[in-house]
Amino acid sequence: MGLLTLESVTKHFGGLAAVNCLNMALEEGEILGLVGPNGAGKTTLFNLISGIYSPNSGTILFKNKVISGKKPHKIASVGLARTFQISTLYKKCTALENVIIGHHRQIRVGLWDILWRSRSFNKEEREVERSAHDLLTFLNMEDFKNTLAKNLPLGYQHRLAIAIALSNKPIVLLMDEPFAGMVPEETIEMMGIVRRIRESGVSVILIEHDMHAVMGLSDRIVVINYGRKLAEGIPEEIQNNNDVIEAYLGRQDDFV
Amino acid sequence: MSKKALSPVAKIAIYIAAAIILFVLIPAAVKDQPYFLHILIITMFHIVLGLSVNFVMRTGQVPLCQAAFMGIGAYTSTLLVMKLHWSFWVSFPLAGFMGGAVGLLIGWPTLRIKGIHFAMATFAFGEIMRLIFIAWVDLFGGANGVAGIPAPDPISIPFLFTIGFKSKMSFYYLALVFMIFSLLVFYRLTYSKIGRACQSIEEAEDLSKCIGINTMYYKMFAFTTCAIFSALVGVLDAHYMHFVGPQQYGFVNSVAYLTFAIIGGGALFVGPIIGAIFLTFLPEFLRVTESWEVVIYGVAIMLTILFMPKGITGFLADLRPKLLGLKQEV
Repeated sequence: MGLLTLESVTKHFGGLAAVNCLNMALEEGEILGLVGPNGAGKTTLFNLISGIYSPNSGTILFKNKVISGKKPHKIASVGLARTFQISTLYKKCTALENVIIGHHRQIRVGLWDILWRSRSFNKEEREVERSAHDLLTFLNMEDFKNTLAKNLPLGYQHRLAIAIALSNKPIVLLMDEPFAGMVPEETIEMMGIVRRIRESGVSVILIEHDMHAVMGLSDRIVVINYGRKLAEGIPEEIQNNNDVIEAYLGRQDDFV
Repeated sequence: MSKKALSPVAKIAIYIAAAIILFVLIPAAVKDQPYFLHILIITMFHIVLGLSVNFVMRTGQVPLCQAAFMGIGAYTSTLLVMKLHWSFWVSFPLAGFMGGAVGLLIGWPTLRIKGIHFAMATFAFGEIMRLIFIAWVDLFGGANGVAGIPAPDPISIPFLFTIGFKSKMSFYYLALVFMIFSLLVFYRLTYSKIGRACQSIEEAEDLSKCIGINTMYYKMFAFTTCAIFSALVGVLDAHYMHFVGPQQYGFVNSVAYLTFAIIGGGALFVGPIIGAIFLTFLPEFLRVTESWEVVIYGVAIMLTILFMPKGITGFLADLRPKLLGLKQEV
Protein backbone atom coordinates (compact mmCIF):
# COMPACT_ATOMS: atom_id res chain seq x y z
CA MET A 1 0.00 0.00 0.00
CA GLY A 2 1.47 3.33 -1.02
CA LEU A 3 1.47 6.59 0.87
CA LEU A 4 -0.78 8.13 -1.77
CA THR A 5 -2.88 5.78 -3.88
CA LEU A 6 -5.12 6.51 -6.84
CA GLU A 7 -7.66 3.81 -7.63
CA SER A 8 -9.28 3.93 -11.08
CA VAL A 9 -9.68 7.71 -10.89
CA THR A 10 -11.71 9.26 -13.70
CA LYS A 11 -12.52 12.89 -14.47
CA HIS A 12 -14.67 14.01 -17.40
CA PHE A 13 -15.00 17.53 -18.75
CA GLY A 14 -18.12 17.32 -20.87
CA GLY A 15 -17.45 14.42 -23.21
CA LEU A 16 -13.69 14.54 -22.77
CA ALA A 17 -12.07 12.17 -20.30
CA ALA A 18 -9.16 14.24 -18.99
CA VAL A 19 -8.18 11.45 -16.61
CA ASN A 20 -9.43 7.99 -17.48
CA CYS A 21 -9.43 5.10 -15.01
CA LEU A 22 -5.97 5.84 -13.69
CA ASN A 23 -4.22 3.70 -11.08
CA MET A 24 -0.99 4.78 -9.49
CA ALA A 25 0.72 4.91 -6.11
CA LEU A 26 3.38 7.00 -4.45
CA GLU A 27 5.63 5.17 -2.00
CA GLU A 28 7.03 6.86 1.09
CA GLY A 29 10.30 8.74 0.52
CA GLU A 30 10.05 8.46 -3.24
CA ILE A 31 10.36 10.96 -6.06
CA LEU A 32 7.80 9.97 -8.66
CA GLY A 33 8.10 11.59 -12.09
CA LEU A 34 4.87 12.23 -13.96
CA VAL A 35 5.41 12.84 -17.66
CA GLY A 36 3.30 12.92 -20.77
CA PRO A 37 2.63 15.10 -23.79
CA ASN A 38 0.80 18.42 -23.41
CA GLY A 39 -2.85 17.91 -22.55
CA ALA A 40 -2.26 14.39 -21.27
CA GLY A 41 -4.03 15.18 -18.00
CA LYS A 42 -1.10 15.69 -15.65
CA THR A 43 -2.23 18.99 -14.15
CA THR A 44 -5.83 17.73 -13.97
CA LEU A 45 -4.47 14.85 -11.92
CA PHE A 46 -2.85 17.32 -9.49
CA ASN A 47 -6.09 19.27 -9.30
CA LEU A 48 -7.88 16.02 -8.44
CA ILE A 49 -5.39 15.05 -5.75
CA SER A 50 -5.37 18.50 -4.16
CA GLY A 51 -9.16 18.74 -4.22
CA ILE A 52 -9.62 21.62 -6.67
CA TYR A 53 -11.66 19.11 -8.72
CA SER A 54 -13.34 16.01 -7.40
CA PRO A 55 -13.21 12.83 -9.50
CA ASN A 56 -16.30 11.51 -11.32
CA SER A 57 -15.39 8.03 -10.15
CA GLY A 58 -12.58 6.24 -8.35
CA THR A 59 -10.95 7.02 -5.04
CA ILE A 60 -7.80 8.76 -3.88
CA LEU A 61 -6.32 7.44 -0.63
CA PHE A 62 -3.76 9.23 1.50
CA LYS A 63 -2.33 7.13 4.33
CA ASN A 64 -5.20 4.70 3.67
CA LYS A 65 -7.82 7.39 4.24
CA VAL A 66 -10.10 8.58 1.44
CA ILE A 67 -9.36 12.20 0.50
CA SER A 68 -11.14 12.40 -2.86
CA GLY A 69 -14.17 14.67 -2.72
CA LYS A 70 -12.88 16.63 0.27
CA LYS A 71 -12.32 20.39 0.14
CA PRO A 72 -8.80 21.60 -0.77
CA HIS A 73 -8.14 23.15 2.65
CA LYS A 74 -9.06 19.85 4.33
CA ILE A 75 -6.69 17.95 2.05
CA ALA A 76 -3.94 20.49 2.75
CA SER A 77 -4.44 19.96 6.47
CA VAL A 78 -3.66 16.22 6.30
CA GLY A 79 -0.22 16.92 4.83
CA LEU A 80 -0.53 17.37 1.08
CA ALA A 81 1.00 20.46 -0.51
CA ARG A 82 1.35 21.50 -4.10
CA THR A 83 2.84 24.13 -6.34
CA PHE A 84 1.11 25.51 -9.39
CA GLN A 85 2.16 25.88 -12.98
CA ILE A 86 3.44 29.33 -14.06
CA SER A 87 4.28 30.20 -10.45
CA THR A 88 0.99 31.13 -8.84
CA LEU A 89 2.06 33.45 -6.03
CA TYR A 90 0.79 36.39 -3.99
CA LYS A 91 2.38 38.78 -6.45
CA LYS A 92 1.75 42.01 -4.54
CA CYS A 93 3.43 40.72 -1.37
CA THR A 94 7.13 40.33 -0.65
CA ALA A 95 8.77 36.91 -0.71
CA LEU A 96 8.84 36.80 3.09
CA GLU A 97 5.16 37.76 3.33
CA ASN A 98 4.30 35.02 0.83
CA VAL A 99 5.90 32.40 3.04
CA ILE A 100 4.28 33.88 6.16
CA ILE A 101 0.85 33.56 4.47
CA GLY A 102 1.83 29.96 3.73
CA HIS A 103 2.21 29.36 7.47
CA HIS A 104 -1.51 29.99 7.98
CA ARG A 105 -2.22 26.54 9.39
CA GLN A 106 0.78 26.65 11.71
CA ILE A 107 -0.79 29.56 13.61
CA ARG A 108 -3.12 28.27 16.28
CA VAL A 109 -4.21 31.41 18.16
CA GLY A 110 -7.89 32.29 18.24
CA LEU A 111 -9.80 35.48 17.57
CA TRP A 112 -9.50 36.63 21.16
CA ASP A 113 -5.68 36.39 21.11
CA ILE A 114 -5.62 38.33 17.84
CA LEU A 115 -7.82 41.15 19.15
CA TRP A 116 -6.10 41.27 22.52
CA ARG A 117 -2.57 40.86 21.09
CA SER A 118 -1.90 38.29 23.80
CA ARG A 119 1.52 36.89 24.63
CA SER A 120 0.87 33.68 22.70
CA PHE A 121 -0.08 35.77 19.65
CA ASN A 122 3.24 37.63 19.70
CA LYS A 123 5.16 34.44 20.34
CA GLU A 124 3.56 32.65 17.40
CA GLU A 125 4.08 35.61 15.05
CA ARG A 126 7.79 35.65 15.95
CA GLU A 127 8.08 31.88 15.45
CA VAL A 128 6.36 32.06 12.08
CA GLU A 129 8.64 34.84 10.91
CA ARG A 130 11.71 32.87 11.98
CA SER A 131 10.42 29.74 10.27
CA ALA A 132 9.71 31.74 7.08
CA HIS A 133 13.31 33.05 7.14
CA ASP A 134 14.58 29.50 7.59
CA LEU A 135 12.61 28.28 4.59
CA LEU A 136 13.92 31.07 2.37
CA THR A 137 17.44 30.18 3.51
CA PHE A 138 16.75 26.51 2.73
CA LEU A 139 15.91 27.56 -0.83
CA ASN A 140 18.94 29.88 -1.09
CA MET A 141 16.84 32.98 -1.58
CA GLU A 142 17.27 34.84 1.70
CA ASP A 143 18.59 37.88 -0.23
CA PHE A 144 15.26 38.27 -1.99
CA LYS A 145 13.08 38.25 1.13
CA ASN A 146 11.94 41.86 0.74
CA THR A 147 11.42 41.67 -3.02
CA LEU A 148 7.85 41.73 -4.28
CA ALA A 149 6.96 38.33 -5.70
CA LYS A 150 6.05 39.81 -9.10
CA ASN A 151 9.54 41.30 -9.43
CA LEU A 152 11.39 38.06 -8.66
CA PRO A 153 13.35 36.38 -11.47
CA LEU A 154 11.42 33.39 -12.83
CA GLY A 155 13.68 30.80 -11.20
CA TYR A 156 13.15 32.41 -7.81
CA GLN A 157 9.39 32.54 -8.36
CA HIS A 158 9.48 28.75 -8.70
CA ARG A 159 11.51 28.53 -5.50
CA LEU A 160 9.13 30.82 -3.65
CA ALA A 161 6.20 28.64 -4.73
CA ILE A 162 8.04 25.68 -3.21
CA ALA A 163 8.76 27.63 -0.01
CA ILE A 164 5.04 28.45 0.36
CA ALA A 165 4.14 24.79 -0.15
CA LEU A 166 6.77 23.63 2.35
CA SER A 167 5.64 26.11 5.00
CA ASN A 168 2.62 23.88 5.58
CA LYS A 169 5.00 21.08 6.70
CA PRO A 170 3.71 18.58 4.12
CA ILE A 171 4.26 14.82 3.92
CA VAL A 172 3.70 14.78 0.17
CA LEU A 173 4.62 17.60 -2.19
CA LEU A 174 3.15 17.83 -5.69
CA MET A 175 5.33 19.96 -7.97
CA ASP A 176 3.91 21.21 -11.26
CA GLU A 177 6.73 21.98 -13.70
CA PRO A 178 9.23 23.53 -11.29
CA PHE A 179 11.89 23.59 -14.04
CA ALA A 180 9.84 25.49 -16.61
CA GLY A 181 11.77 28.27 -18.32
CA MET A 182 15.03 27.68 -16.48
CA VAL A 183 18.56 27.92 -17.84
CA PRO A 184 20.79 24.82 -17.30
CA GLU A 185 22.56 26.23 -14.22
CA GLU A 186 19.24 26.98 -12.55
CA THR A 187 18.01 23.49 -13.43
CA ILE A 188 21.00 21.92 -11.69
CA GLU A 189 20.42 24.05 -8.58
CA MET A 190 16.73 23.20 -8.57
CA MET A 191 17.54 19.49 -8.85
CA GLY A 192 19.63 19.89 -5.71
CA ILE A 193 16.68 21.57 -3.97
CA VAL A 194 14.28 18.76 -4.93
CA ARG A 195 16.77 16.17 -3.62
CA ARG A 196 17.11 18.10 -0.34
CA ILE A 197 13.34 18.24 0.03
CA ARG A 198 13.21 14.44 -0.32
CA GLU A 199 16.04 14.05 2.19
CA SER A 200 14.04 16.12 4.68
CA GLY A 201 11.41 13.36 4.59
CA VAL A 202 8.94 14.68 2.04
CA SER A 203 7.73 12.41 -0.77
CA VAL A 204 7.46 14.16 -4.12
CA ILE A 205 5.42 13.83 -7.30
CA LEU A 206 7.02 15.83 -10.06
CA ILE A 207 5.37 16.91 -13.31
CA GLU A 208 8.08 17.95 -15.72
CA HIS A 209 8.85 18.30 -19.39
CA ASP A 210 12.59 18.73 -18.83
CA MET A 211 13.59 15.10 -19.49
CA HIS A 212 17.10 15.58 -18.19
CA ALA A 213 15.77 16.72 -14.82
CA VAL A 214 13.02 14.13 -14.61
CA MET A 215 15.26 11.21 -15.55
CA GLY A 216 17.96 12.38 -13.17
CA LEU A 217 15.68 12.89 -10.18
CA SER A 218 12.93 10.30 -10.29
CA ASP A 219 13.04 6.91 -8.62
CA ARG A 220 10.12 5.86 -10.76
CA ILE A 221 8.29 7.43 -13.66
CA VAL A 222 4.66 7.23 -14.70
CA VAL A 223 3.84 8.22 -18.27
CA ILE A 224 0.29 9.26 -19.07
CA ASN A 225 -1.32 10.06 -22.39
CA TYR A 226 -4.97 10.92 -23.11
CA GLY A 227 -5.65 10.54 -19.38
CA ARG A 228 -4.52 6.89 -19.31
CA LYS A 229 -1.39 5.35 -17.91
CA LEU A 230 0.89 4.50 -20.80
CA ALA A 231 3.90 3.13 -18.96
CA GLU A 232 5.43 2.91 -15.51
CA GLY A 233 8.92 2.01 -14.38
CA ILE A 234 12.41 3.18 -13.54
CA PRO A 235 13.86 5.90 -15.81
CA GLU A 236 15.89 3.48 -17.98
CA GLU A 237 12.84 1.36 -18.75
CA ILE A 238 10.85 4.43 -19.73
CA GLN A 239 13.58 5.73 -22.02
CA ASN A 240 13.49 2.49 -24.02
CA ASN A 241 9.73 1.97 -23.99
CA ASN A 242 8.33 1.95 -27.52
CA ASP A 243 4.86 3.18 -26.50
CA VAL A 244 6.39 6.22 -24.84
CA ILE A 245 8.60 7.05 -27.79
CA GLU A 246 5.55 6.71 -30.01
CA ALA A 247 3.45 9.05 -27.84
CA TYR A 248 6.10 11.73 -27.89
CA LEU A 249 7.45 11.40 -31.43
CA GLY A 250 4.66 9.67 -33.33
CA ARG A 251 4.69 6.25 -34.98
CA GLN A 252 7.23 5.59 -37.70
CA ASP A 253 4.63 4.81 -40.37
CA ASP A 254 2.91 8.19 -39.66
CA PHE A 255 5.67 9.81 -41.63
CA VAL A 256 5.42 7.51 -44.60
CA MET B 1 1.35 44.54 4.82
CA SER B 2 4.70 45.70 6.09
CA LYS B 3 4.92 47.75 9.22
CA LYS B 4 7.52 50.33 10.04
CA ALA B 5 9.31 49.78 13.32
CA LEU B 6 9.05 52.66 15.78
CA SER B 7 10.68 52.74 19.18
CA PRO B 8 8.20 52.10 22.02
CA VAL B 9 8.79 55.57 23.45
CA ALA B 10 8.04 57.26 20.13
CA LYS B 11 4.90 55.13 19.81
CA ILE B 12 3.61 56.14 23.24
CA ALA B 13 4.42 59.79 22.50
CA ILE B 14 2.42 59.61 19.27
CA TYR B 15 -0.53 57.98 21.05
CA ILE B 16 -0.53 60.63 23.78
CA ALA B 17 -0.28 63.45 21.24
CA ALA B 18 -3.13 61.97 19.19
CA ALA B 19 -5.24 61.53 22.34
CA ILE B 20 -4.68 65.15 23.38
CA ILE B 21 -5.56 66.43 19.91
CA LEU B 22 -8.70 64.29 19.59
CA PHE B 23 -10.01 64.54 23.15
CA VAL B 24 -8.94 68.06 24.16
CA LEU B 25 -7.76 70.34 21.37
CA ILE B 26 -10.35 69.60 18.67
CA PRO B 27 -13.35 69.80 21.06
CA ALA B 28 -11.96 73.06 22.47
CA ALA B 29 -11.51 74.49 18.99
CA VAL B 30 -14.97 73.66 17.69
CA LYS B 31 -16.88 74.21 20.94
CA ASP B 32 -18.85 77.13 19.52
CA GLN B 33 -19.20 75.79 16.00
CA PRO B 34 -21.93 73.15 16.09
CA TYR B 35 -21.86 72.78 12.31
CA PHE B 36 -18.18 71.86 12.27
CA LEU B 37 -18.69 69.53 15.21
CA HIS B 38 -21.44 67.83 13.22
CA ILE B 39 -19.08 67.30 10.26
CA LEU B 40 -16.51 65.76 12.60
CA ILE B 41 -19.03 63.29 13.99
CA ILE B 42 -20.17 62.30 10.49
CA THR B 43 -16.52 61.92 9.45
CA MET B 44 -15.93 59.47 12.26
CA PHE B 45 -18.96 57.42 11.18
CA HIS B 46 -17.63 57.45 7.64
CA ILE B 47 -14.17 56.31 8.74
CA VAL B 48 -15.65 53.20 10.35
CA LEU B 49 -17.80 52.54 7.27
CA GLY B 50 -14.79 52.94 4.98
CA LEU B 51 -12.72 50.55 7.10
CA SER B 52 -15.41 47.90 7.18
CA VAL B 53 -16.13 47.97 3.45
CA ASN B 54 -12.40 47.85 2.75
CA PHE B 55 -12.06 44.78 4.95
CA VAL B 56 -14.43 42.95 2.60
CA MET B 57 -12.71 44.37 -0.50
CA ARG B 58 -9.43 42.86 0.70
CA THR B 59 -10.92 39.45 -0.05
CA GLY B 60 -11.57 40.59 -3.63
CA GLN B 61 -15.33 41.05 -3.26
CA VAL B 62 -17.11 44.37 -3.73
CA PRO B 63 -20.27 44.60 -1.59
CA LEU B 64 -23.02 47.07 -2.54
CA CYS B 65 -25.26 46.66 0.49
CA GLN B 66 -23.46 48.42 3.31
CA ALA B 67 -26.18 51.03 3.71
CA ALA B 68 -28.73 48.22 4.08
CA PHE B 69 -26.77 46.85 7.05
CA MET B 70 -26.73 50.36 8.54
CA GLY B 71 -30.48 50.44 8.07
CA ILE B 72 -30.93 47.07 9.76
CA GLY B 73 -28.93 48.33 12.75
CA ALA B 74 -30.72 51.67 12.86
CA TYR B 75 -34.26 50.25 12.62
CA THR B 76 -33.53 47.42 15.07
CA SER B 77 -32.30 49.81 17.73
CA THR B 78 -35.05 52.33 17.02
CA LEU B 79 -37.77 49.70 17.45
CA LEU B 80 -36.21 48.23 20.59
CA VAL B 81 -35.85 51.64 22.21
CA MET B 82 -39.12 53.25 21.09
CA LYS B 83 -41.53 50.30 21.03
CA LEU B 84 -40.12 48.12 23.79
CA HIS B 85 -38.48 50.95 25.78
CA TRP B 86 -35.22 49.09 26.14
CA SER B 87 -32.07 50.93 27.07
CA PHE B 88 -29.86 52.18 24.23
CA TRP B 89 -26.93 50.34 25.78
CA VAL B 90 -28.76 47.04 25.31
CA SER B 91 -30.17 47.80 21.88
CA PHE B 92 -26.78 49.02 20.56
CA PRO B 93 -24.95 45.67 20.76
CA LEU B 94 -28.14 43.77 19.89
CA ALA B 95 -28.54 45.78 16.68
CA GLY B 96 -24.91 45.00 15.81
CA PHE B 97 -25.66 41.34 16.45
CA MET B 98 -28.72 41.61 14.19
CA GLY B 99 -26.59 43.12 11.40
CA GLY B 100 -24.09 40.28 11.80
CA ALA B 101 -26.83 37.65 11.68
CA VAL B 102 -28.29 39.08 8.46
CA GLY B 103 -24.74 39.37 7.10
CA LEU B 104 -24.16 35.66 7.70
CA LEU B 105 -27.48 34.79 6.11
CA ILE B 106 -26.83 36.88 2.99
CA GLY B 107 -23.12 36.04 2.80
CA TRP B 108 -23.70 32.27 2.85
CA PRO B 109 -25.19 32.10 -0.67
CA THR B 110 -23.77 35.30 -2.25
CA LEU B 111 -20.08 34.88 -1.34
CA ARG B 112 -19.93 31.76 -3.51
CA ILE B 113 -20.15 33.98 -6.57
CA LYS B 114 -17.51 36.45 -7.61
CA GLY B 115 -16.86 39.82 -9.19
CA ILE B 116 -19.72 41.71 -10.78
CA HIS B 117 -22.17 38.91 -9.95
CA PHE B 118 -21.50 39.28 -6.23
CA ALA B 119 -21.84 43.05 -6.53
CA MET B 120 -25.20 42.64 -8.30
CA ALA B 121 -26.47 40.13 -5.72
CA THR B 122 -25.62 42.43 -2.81
CA PHE B 123 -27.07 45.39 -4.72
CA ALA B 124 -30.33 43.46 -5.06
CA PHE B 125 -30.33 42.59 -1.36
CA GLY B 126 -29.73 46.23 -0.43
CA GLU B 127 -32.59 47.47 -2.58
CA ILE B 128 -34.90 44.75 -1.23
CA MET B 129 -34.13 45.90 2.32
CA ARG B 130 -34.85 49.52 1.35
CA LEU B 131 -38.18 48.52 -0.22
CA ILE B 132 -39.09 46.52 2.89
CA PHE B 133 -38.39 49.62 5.03
CA ILE B 134 -40.75 51.59 2.75
CA ALA B 135 -43.47 48.98 2.35
CA TRP B 136 -43.83 47.75 5.93
CA VAL B 137 -45.44 50.93 7.18
CA ASP B 138 -46.69 49.61 10.54
CA LEU B 139 -43.26 48.52 11.67
CA PHE B 140 -40.81 50.81 9.92
CA GLY B 141 -42.93 53.91 9.38
CA GLY B 142 -42.86 53.69 5.58
CA ALA B 143 -41.36 56.41 3.42
CA ASN B 144 -41.65 58.95 6.26
CA GLY B 145 -39.38 56.92 8.49
CA VAL B 146 -39.37 57.23 12.24
CA ALA B 147 -38.72 60.56 13.92
CA GLY B 148 -38.10 61.49 17.53
CA ILE B 149 -35.59 58.76 18.32
CA PRO B 150 -34.22 59.54 21.77
CA ALA B 151 -30.55 60.21 22.43
CA PRO B 152 -28.61 57.40 24.16
CA ASP B 153 -29.52 57.00 27.84
CA PRO B 154 -27.17 58.79 30.19
CA ILE B 155 -24.55 56.71 31.91
CA SER B 156 -24.60 57.42 35.61
CA ILE B 157 -22.13 56.18 38.15
CA PRO B 158 -23.74 56.70 41.57
CA PHE B 159 -22.24 59.47 43.76
CA LEU B 160 -19.63 60.29 41.08
CA PHE B 161 -20.97 61.66 37.83
CA THR B 162 -23.53 61.29 35.08
CA ILE B 163 -22.71 61.46 31.39
CA GLY B 164 -25.61 62.54 29.23
CA PHE B 165 -25.65 62.30 25.45
CA LYS B 166 -28.13 65.04 24.66
CA SER B 167 -25.53 67.58 23.57
CA LYS B 168 -23.55 67.41 20.34
CA MET B 169 -20.28 67.60 22.26
CA SER B 170 -21.06 64.52 24.34
CA PHE B 171 -21.98 62.66 21.18
CA TYR B 172 -18.64 63.65 19.71
CA TYR B 173 -16.94 61.78 22.55
CA LEU B 174 -19.21 58.77 22.11
CA ALA B 175 -18.46 58.62 18.37
CA LEU B 176 -14.75 59.12 19.06
CA VAL B 177 -14.56 56.24 21.52
CA PHE B 178 -16.50 54.03 19.10
CA MET B 179 -14.21 55.00 16.22
CA ILE B 180 -11.04 54.27 18.22
CA PHE B 181 -12.49 50.90 19.23
CA SER B 182 -13.27 50.10 15.57
CA LEU B 183 -9.82 51.23 14.40
CA LEU B 184 -8.22 48.95 16.96
CA VAL B 185 -10.35 45.95 15.95
CA PHE B 186 -9.78 46.40 12.21
CA TYR B 187 -6.06 47.13 12.62
CA ARG B 188 -5.49 44.03 14.71
CA LEU B 189 -7.57 41.85 12.40
CA THR B 190 -5.74 43.17 9.32
CA TYR B 191 -2.28 42.47 10.73
CA SER B 192 -2.93 38.90 11.81
CA LYS B 193 -3.46 35.52 10.19
CA ILE B 194 -7.06 36.57 9.52
CA GLY B 195 -6.06 39.67 7.56
CA ARG B 196 -3.37 37.78 5.68
CA ALA B 197 -5.79 35.00 4.77
CA CYS B 198 -8.38 37.53 3.56
CA GLN B 199 -5.84 39.35 1.43
CA SER B 200 -4.46 36.13 -0.02
CA ILE B 201 -7.88 35.19 -1.39
CA GLU B 202 -7.97 38.19 -3.70
CA GLU B 203 -4.61 37.41 -5.27
CA ALA B 204 -4.62 33.64 -5.73
CA GLU B 205 -7.64 31.85 -4.31
CA ASP B 206 -6.66 28.34 -5.46
CA LEU B 207 -3.21 28.70 -3.91
CA SER B 208 -4.80 29.83 -0.64
CA LYS B 209 -7.07 26.79 -0.63
CA CYS B 210 -4.11 24.49 -1.24
CA ILE B 211 -2.13 25.87 1.71
CA GLY B 212 -5.07 25.05 3.95
CA ILE B 213 -6.98 28.33 4.11
CA ASN B 214 -10.73 27.83 4.31
CA THR B 215 -11.43 30.66 1.88
CA MET B 216 -15.22 30.56 2.29
CA TYR B 217 -14.84 30.92 6.06
CA TYR B 218 -12.66 34.02 5.72
CA LYS B 219 -14.94 35.62 3.13
CA MET B 220 -17.86 35.06 5.52
CA PHE B 221 -15.81 36.42 8.41
CA ALA B 222 -14.93 39.63 6.54
CA PHE B 223 -18.49 40.13 5.26
CA THR B 224 -20.05 39.55 8.67
CA THR B 225 -17.57 41.85 10.41
CA CYS B 226 -18.43 44.53 7.86
CA ALA B 227 -22.15 43.96 8.51
CA ILE B 228 -21.73 44.22 12.29
CA PHE B 229 -19.78 47.47 12.22
CA SER B 230 -22.04 49.00 9.56
CA ALA B 231 -25.06 48.17 11.73
CA LEU B 232 -23.37 49.71 14.79
CA VAL B 233 -22.70 52.92 12.84
CA GLY B 234 -26.33 52.84 11.74
CA VAL B 235 -27.46 52.74 15.38
CA LEU B 236 -25.25 55.67 16.40
CA ASP B 237 -26.36 57.65 13.36
CA ALA B 238 -30.05 57.06 14.13
CA HIS B 239 -29.73 58.12 17.76
CA TYR B 240 -27.61 61.10 16.77
CA MET B 241 -29.90 62.41 14.02
CA HIS B 242 -33.02 61.34 16.02
CA PHE B 243 -34.44 60.09 12.73
CA VAL B 244 -34.39 57.04 10.44
CA GLY B 245 -35.78 56.95 6.94
CA PRO B 246 -35.48 54.49 4.05
CA GLN B 247 -33.87 57.00 1.67
CA GLN B 248 -30.69 57.00 3.80
CA TYR B 249 -30.12 53.31 3.22
CA GLY B 250 -30.23 53.01 -0.54
CA PHE B 251 -27.75 52.12 -3.23
CA VAL B 252 -26.29 55.63 -3.57
CA ASN B 253 -25.06 55.62 0.01
CA SER B 254 -23.55 52.15 -0.34
CA VAL B 255 -21.58 53.41 -3.32
CA ALA B 256 -20.50 56.49 -1.37
CA TYR B 257 -18.99 54.31 1.39
CA LEU B 258 -17.28 52.20 -1.26
CA THR B 259 -15.83 55.40 -2.67
CA PHE B 260 -13.98 56.10 0.60
CA ALA B 261 -12.00 52.90 0.16
CA ILE B 262 -11.44 53.32 -3.59
CA ILE B 263 -10.31 56.95 -3.41
CA GLY B 264 -8.29 56.54 -0.24
CA GLY B 265 -6.66 53.39 -1.55
CA GLY B 266 -7.42 49.97 -0.16
CA ALA B 267 -3.94 48.48 0.05
CA LEU B 268 -2.84 50.53 3.04
CA PHE B 269 -4.68 50.51 6.36
CA VAL B 270 -4.92 54.33 6.43
CA GLY B 271 -6.37 54.43 2.88
CA PRO B 272 -10.09 54.32 3.71
CA ILE B 273 -9.52 56.68 6.66
CA ILE B 274 -7.94 59.31 4.41
CA GLY B 275 -10.65 58.69 1.80
CA ALA B 276 -13.44 59.14 4.34
CA ILE B 277 -11.97 62.37 5.72
CA PHE B 278 -11.31 63.77 2.26
CA LEU B 279 -14.73 62.96 0.84
CA THR B 280 -16.65 64.13 3.90
CA PHE B 281 -14.90 67.48 4.07
CA LEU B 282 -14.71 68.16 0.33
CA PRO B 283 -18.44 68.69 -0.33
CA GLU B 284 -18.69 70.78 2.85
CA PHE B 285 -15.88 73.08 1.80
CA LEU B 286 -17.29 73.39 -1.69
CA ARG B 287 -20.61 74.27 0.00
CA VAL B 288 -22.75 72.24 -2.34
CA THR B 289 -26.15 70.74 -1.79
CA GLU B 290 -26.69 67.06 -1.20
CA SER B 291 -27.68 66.29 -4.78
CA TRP B 292 -24.34 67.62 -6.02
CA GLU B 293 -22.50 65.41 -3.56
CA VAL B 294 -23.20 62.40 -5.76
CA VAL B 295 -21.72 64.24 -8.74
CA ILE B 296 -18.58 65.06 -6.76
CA TYR B 297 -18.21 61.43 -5.70
CA GLY B 298 -18.63 60.32 -9.31
CA VAL B 299 -16.04 62.74 -10.63
CA ALA B 300 -13.69 61.85 -7.76
CA ILE B 301 -13.97 58.14 -8.61
CA MET B 302 -13.27 58.77 -12.30
CA LEU B 303 -10.25 60.97 -11.61
CA THR B 304 -8.88 58.54 -9.05
CA ILE B 305 -9.22 55.50 -11.29
CA LEU B 306 -7.65 57.36 -14.20
CA PHE B 307 -4.74 59.01 -12.43
CA MET B 308 -4.29 57.21 -9.10
CA PRO B 309 -5.47 53.61 -9.50
CA LYS B 310 -4.09 52.73 -6.07
CA GLY B 311 -5.95 55.63 -4.43
CA ILE B 312 -4.54 58.69 -2.70
CA THR B 313 -2.43 56.75 -0.22
CA GLY B 314 -1.14 54.28 -2.80
CA PHE B 315 -0.24 57.21 -5.06
CA LEU B 316 1.67 58.98 -2.28
CA ALA B 317 3.42 55.77 -1.21
CA ASP B 318 4.62 55.23 -4.78
CA LEU B 319 5.60 58.87 -5.12
CA ARG B 320 7.67 59.16 -1.97
CA PRO B 321 10.51 56.79 -2.90
CA LYS B 322 10.84 58.63 -6.21
CA LEU B 323 11.07 62.00 -4.47
CA LEU B 324 13.68 60.71 -2.07
CA GLY B 325 15.63 59.19 -4.94
CA LEU B 326 15.29 55.71 -3.51
CA LYS B 327 14.77 52.50 -5.39
CA GLN B 328 11.22 52.46 -6.62
CA GLU B 329 10.03 49.02 -5.53
CA VAL B 330 12.63 46.39 -5.12
